[in-house]
Amino acid sequence: MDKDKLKKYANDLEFDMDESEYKTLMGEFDILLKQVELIENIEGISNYEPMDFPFPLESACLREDKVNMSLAREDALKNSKDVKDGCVKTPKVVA
Amino acid sequence: MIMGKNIDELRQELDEGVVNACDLFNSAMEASSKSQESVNAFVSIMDKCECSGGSSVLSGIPYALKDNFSTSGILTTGSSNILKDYVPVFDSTVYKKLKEAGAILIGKTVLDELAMGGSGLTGHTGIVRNPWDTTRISGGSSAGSAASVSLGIVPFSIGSDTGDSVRKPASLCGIVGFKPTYGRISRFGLFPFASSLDHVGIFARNVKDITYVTDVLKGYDELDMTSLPDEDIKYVDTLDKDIKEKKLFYIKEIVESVSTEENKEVIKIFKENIDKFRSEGVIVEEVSFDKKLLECLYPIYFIISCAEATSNNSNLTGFIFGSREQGNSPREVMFNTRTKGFSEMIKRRFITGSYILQRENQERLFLNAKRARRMIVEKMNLLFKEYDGLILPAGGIAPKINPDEETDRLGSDYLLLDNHLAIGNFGGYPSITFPMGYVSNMPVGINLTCPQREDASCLNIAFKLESVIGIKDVCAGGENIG
Repeated sequence: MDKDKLKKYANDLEFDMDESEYKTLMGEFDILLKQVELIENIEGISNYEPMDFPFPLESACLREDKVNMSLAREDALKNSKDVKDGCVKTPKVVA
Repeated sequence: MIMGKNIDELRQELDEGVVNACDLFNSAMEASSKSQESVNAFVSIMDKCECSGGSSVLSGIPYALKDNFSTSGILTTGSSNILKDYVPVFDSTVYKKLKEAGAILIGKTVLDELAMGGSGLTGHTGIVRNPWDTTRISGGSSAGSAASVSLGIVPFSIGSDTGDSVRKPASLCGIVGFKPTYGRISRFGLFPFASSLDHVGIFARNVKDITYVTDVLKGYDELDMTSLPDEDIKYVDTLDKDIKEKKLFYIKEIVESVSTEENKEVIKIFKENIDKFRSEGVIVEEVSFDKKLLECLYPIYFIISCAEATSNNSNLTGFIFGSREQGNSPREVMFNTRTKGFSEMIKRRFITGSYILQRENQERLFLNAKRARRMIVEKMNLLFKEYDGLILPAGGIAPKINPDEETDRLGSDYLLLDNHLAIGNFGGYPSITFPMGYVSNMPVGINLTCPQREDASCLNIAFKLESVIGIKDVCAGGENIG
């Protein structure tokens, strides 16, 4: 795993790390990729469907189309650091 | 006044008018503040007794809540710098139910940052120390919740468990930790870590107290899409059922995997207790399980949880809530906020998650991990057709805190004894850890994991086995050691 690739993943996730942190991560990837081989080498693994949840969920269906819990605008804005005219303020998106 | 007392004892004192709820709150608040310097279990300690009445068994009883449960008007940080000033505007279902039951929140507890970690060393307000020996870790991620109960400050506390984050610290701190079946307790308002593995969990110093709290918290919640339908029973009413002829199994490969002298002592205590269970009429058998699959437990957990966490935490942008750094464009604001707000450990997990989720890697990493998860769960479900539960040591004793060694870094050792509790999350099984003995003057726990939806049976068996072992209501330091 090379550092440039990891840096791209970090930047795509909207953050960065310093050099020593990338070095640590590269060490972790060496271990992770060995562990991935362990999983790949499990006999018969391709015969299984991936498991998304512990069991089929009885209540996971579309709910009725009615209003349930929602936030008032005033509450929704309470935790934003910069608010103007009832909206979250950010730097200009379009110049 | 409150120190070390269980729910039954406090209930009796409250009902007889020996104490009132505010007395207990003040006593717990004082004890919490006093313990901060040595143990550091709390992010916030409440300064006002908010008693809402209620007529449940928990009315007037103080408790602590992990700082990743939303509490309207009360700071909730996830023990992360990116949320260090966040004050939610809605209540999690767990907090709402406890308020309605009349339980009294005394503090929000420290966790490993955003619940990712198992040491209690990575919260933004500092490390949580083990109340039994402050040179050792408390375990995590629900570190402060475990420590507050172990210290005797509160009779119960709430945590969350994605890989073992309630059941492992319970073992390391000498108390009881339970997570019910996936969906049994609503996760609405719990900061998500890995949604397919996340459970709400409970700490207490005996199984009966765990059951009281579970009865209050369980139940369908339309705000949680994974919520299970209601069960029309109170678990506390079935606690005392006879467990003779119940069939349990332990996994040979895990019990035989230990190498250190301390862990050999753990296994010795485990086997002594198994003999005691057998003499009480419980059937316990040794079962062999594919060691290659067991060695994949941690990698499967790591891959699935990193991938889900990366996605779940993409809402931490600095715009709507949380810390915000300056920047010349929205993207720069987000970039600077996330760079400064997340610790290195969290960033490493997110990058790993992103790698796993790349289109070209999904089949080999993410989908294979999910296939292996199914293989393990199907094998477990088959065993649960024959057995009522899986019984194993919960892990080794709490390691020493080592400031020179970075924690929560991915390691190359396959420590089966310390990683098997994730089976409970893969299958969403009810799973409970309770004390079984002491090694090097530190507590060690035993874990019972039962079939999906068999929460009542799990609590019933644990209640009876706890009595056979003879250790309960123990606070750090060993008072009441049976």
